[in-house]
Amino acid sequence: MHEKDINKKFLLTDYTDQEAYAHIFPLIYKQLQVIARSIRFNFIGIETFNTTAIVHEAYIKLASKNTPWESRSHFYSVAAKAMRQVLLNAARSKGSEKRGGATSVVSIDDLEDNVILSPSASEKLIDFDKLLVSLEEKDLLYGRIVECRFFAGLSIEETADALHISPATVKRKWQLARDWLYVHLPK
Amino acid sequence: MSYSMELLEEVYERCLALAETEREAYVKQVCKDNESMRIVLTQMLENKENSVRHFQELQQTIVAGILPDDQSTIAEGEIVGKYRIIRLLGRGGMSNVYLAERFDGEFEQQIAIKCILSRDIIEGDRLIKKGEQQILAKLEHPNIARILDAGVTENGVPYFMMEYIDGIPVDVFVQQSNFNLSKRLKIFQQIAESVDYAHSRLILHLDIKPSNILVNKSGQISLLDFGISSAIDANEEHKSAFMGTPSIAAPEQMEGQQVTAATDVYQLGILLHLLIANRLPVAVTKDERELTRMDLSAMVAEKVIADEIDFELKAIIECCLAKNPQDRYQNVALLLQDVQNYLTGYPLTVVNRGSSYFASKYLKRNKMAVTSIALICISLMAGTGFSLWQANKTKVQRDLAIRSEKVAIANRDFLIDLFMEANPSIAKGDTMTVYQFLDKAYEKTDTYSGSAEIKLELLTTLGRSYRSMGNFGKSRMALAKAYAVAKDSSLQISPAYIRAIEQLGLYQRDIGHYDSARILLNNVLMMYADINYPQVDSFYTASLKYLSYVYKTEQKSDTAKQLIEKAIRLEEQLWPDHNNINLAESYYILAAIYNDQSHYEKAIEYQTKSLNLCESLMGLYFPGTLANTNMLSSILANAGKLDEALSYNIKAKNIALKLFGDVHHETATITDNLGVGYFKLAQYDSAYYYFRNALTIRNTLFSSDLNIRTHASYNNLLSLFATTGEQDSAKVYLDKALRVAASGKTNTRQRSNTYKWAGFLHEQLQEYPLSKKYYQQSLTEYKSYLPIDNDQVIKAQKSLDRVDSLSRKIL
Repeated sequence: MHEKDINKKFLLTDYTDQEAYAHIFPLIYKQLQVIARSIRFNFIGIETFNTTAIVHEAYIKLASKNTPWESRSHFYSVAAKAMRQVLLNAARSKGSEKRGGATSVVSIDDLEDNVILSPSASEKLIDFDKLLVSLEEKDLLYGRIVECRFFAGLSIEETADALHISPATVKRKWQLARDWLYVHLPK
Repeated sequence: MSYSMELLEEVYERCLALAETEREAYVKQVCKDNESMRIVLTQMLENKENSVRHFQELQQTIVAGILPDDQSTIAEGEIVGKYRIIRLLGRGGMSNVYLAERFDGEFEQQIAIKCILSRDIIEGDRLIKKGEQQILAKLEHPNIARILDAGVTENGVPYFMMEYIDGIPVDVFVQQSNFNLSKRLKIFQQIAESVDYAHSRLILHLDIKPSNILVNKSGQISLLDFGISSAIDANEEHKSAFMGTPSIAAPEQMEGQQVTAATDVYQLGILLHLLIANRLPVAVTKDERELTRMDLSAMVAEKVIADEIDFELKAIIECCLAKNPQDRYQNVALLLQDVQNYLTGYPLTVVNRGSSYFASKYLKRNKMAVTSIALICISLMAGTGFSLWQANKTKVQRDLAIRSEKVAIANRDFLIDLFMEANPSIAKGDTMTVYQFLDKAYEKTDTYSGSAEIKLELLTTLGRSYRSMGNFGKSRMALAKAYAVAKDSSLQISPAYIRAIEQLGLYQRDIGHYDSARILLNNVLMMYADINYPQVDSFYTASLKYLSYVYKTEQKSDTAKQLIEKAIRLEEQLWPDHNNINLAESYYILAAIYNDQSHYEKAIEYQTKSLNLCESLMGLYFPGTLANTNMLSSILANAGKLDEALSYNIKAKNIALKLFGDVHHETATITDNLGVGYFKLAQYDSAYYYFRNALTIRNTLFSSDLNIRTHASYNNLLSLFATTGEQDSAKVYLDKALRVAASGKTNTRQRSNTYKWAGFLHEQLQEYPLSKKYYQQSLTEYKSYLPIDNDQVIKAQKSLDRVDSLSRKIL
């Protein structure tokens, strides 16, 4: 799909989540890579480089001025998931190298090669994600909130927008998930 | 897990809301025998801070991982070309910048080395080509940081060597300096000029943002990275992959379309907004926290220009930010032109060509020159808001306050019609002169078929407008018509009628018929009394002032003083805070009268009062301020305070230059005055410089030297050389001055001056009969317009007597 199509999709179609992932995800995924690489330090308004900047800049690039609010929140939730995938894939490929090159590496695309994670960071991420999956078994919303808050670096309000829930809920579930995950991480 | 997450969530939230000391008890109470829940809660509470820190650190690690790795960077101490790397200055997504210095110690030179973080060798090659291109383009501009060299390190890292700029980003600079709007615009102009310069060398910038515009300690602005961004952005393999800074990128950059000079114009528009409003052109969210975070998602294609920005600057920014590059300023020079237009009060090229816009611009520039007619027209067109705002500022607006509704509406229709008619014929509004406008109005009055009262008012207004612009012929014609209307119709004596008579009086005054002026203006006061017109009224006080000034000119100081003092009394009642430009005018007249009476202390007091009031109300660059400064200087000189006088001369010269430009007769007069200031201080070289300057201006202005002003220049130079004893030069100017004096195209005062100095020069040359002849002539001239006890008359008499006795001795 060409990049311009993504705008159309945003504009015209009200995708279900599944459709969105199927159609938009690969593009966002790729964009995140490109954008992450090209974002420069010290540009206006951003003091430090963070994942939020990547997601926001991706949105600016992909959205048109007519993009409705719903599409915007939709975008953020999908982008947050994409961030999680990109990072996890990168972590797993690094991890597999270190562990002697297991063959079950997810990505053959070289996208993840652009994300450089230390072995310890990769391990931390993988462990963290395993736990998160177990938390998602209790309530899917935890996963979505962690994706937005942790992987995409969105604020509580932005997360609430993206997931169509109240900021109070985001706050409550986020602090629980964060602290619960922390005490259950392998030490 | 033997607890529900839902319950855990709820309990945990409540715990966090409690004071730390109460939490343990609460947990025990809620969990009862649910041990696993108690343990997890306790652990979570104990580790809350650790948890926050852990995830923050993990996020940082991830971010570091997303950024390109450091393999292709340069290490401290590494040698690149003839330079040694000192330290890392900054890190970016695409490049790192290092500070470096010459290692061979040949020069004390520090430079910046920017190395490109790219795994793609082809990309690196292209970058270097771009860098070389810029070096070849020889961008040499004080506001552009130069690229010194480009190459590849031994480890294959492509780099640029650049001038090192130790400065802060321009947006931080203007905020820290707390610059006002015009200073900010001046800074913007410098930046845009350097971009324009680069465009003339066929180099685009394409990444104009504050972090690329640095200001050093001495305020010098430098644009960095010229031409580099274009190389980075125009990725040949993925043409659509935009690699810049999205929040400042133009739509065509986002879409991977061709970039042009208009792309830089777009980014300059964003920069202009940022410099004026301290923020990007995006909607402001309600939440203040969001504001400080700067929500990038709000920066989608749709730009929202800050409300607080003046509508004209808004129009400039809007034009820059047009989505379609063709709709923007087609080059930076055009953008610069409009910023300059804004600064100098000329109409912009981008604002829609509505007539009231041009009229108001026109007015802004010609506060004095465009008098009543344009003001009435504009204020009526723009509605009451405008007229009330301006109402206190100009005499003309007083018309509006008391004119009957009927007249106002009729006048408005007439003038709007007129203005609209005049407008289409002009491309920029700017080119229509006041004269053209008045002439048009004047033509129209002939065919005007409305009421006599309105016609009278129109003609009076026109007469006044022409008069104040020095076009006495036209003024007389309009006023004669007004007078005819006033006489022929069965009009009652009304304020409009009285004002028509007043204008006739003023016309007489301006053409030097003081007798007639005095009679007419006295009539005006009597008529006001007849209709019981209120005295605490600005029209009435204005009439007092006019008459006072006529008496003053006629050297009838006592009557003049009585009148002006009455006017001041009334005006101080009218404007109890004494903060009104009309009062400044009255103080001015009173000061002039005191000056005539040689009461210099009082004169200085009132002149200073007038100057301060005028300057605070209308600003420094206002004709009234200039007149005041000039007069104050002259009074100070009379009082013998020559140094102070000179300082006001200098101030006046600066105002005149700004108001009128360097080729204008007002500027020439002020320049002459400055020369006189130096002359009185016996600083003859400076005096000569300014006298000569004034003469040059006049030679440019007038095709023939047979006029009063050039005559004044000749007299000044004559007096200077006669005083310094440079008799040959003095003779040259004496011949010229005598020629003008004989032409009849000058006035008595200049003539008597010429004769006086002729007498003096010949006295020095011991040519007493000639000297005597000229002194005699000067005495006659002086006597013709000055009272016999005047200083000049007495001096002339003394000179004559002295030379007379000298010539007798010789005989």
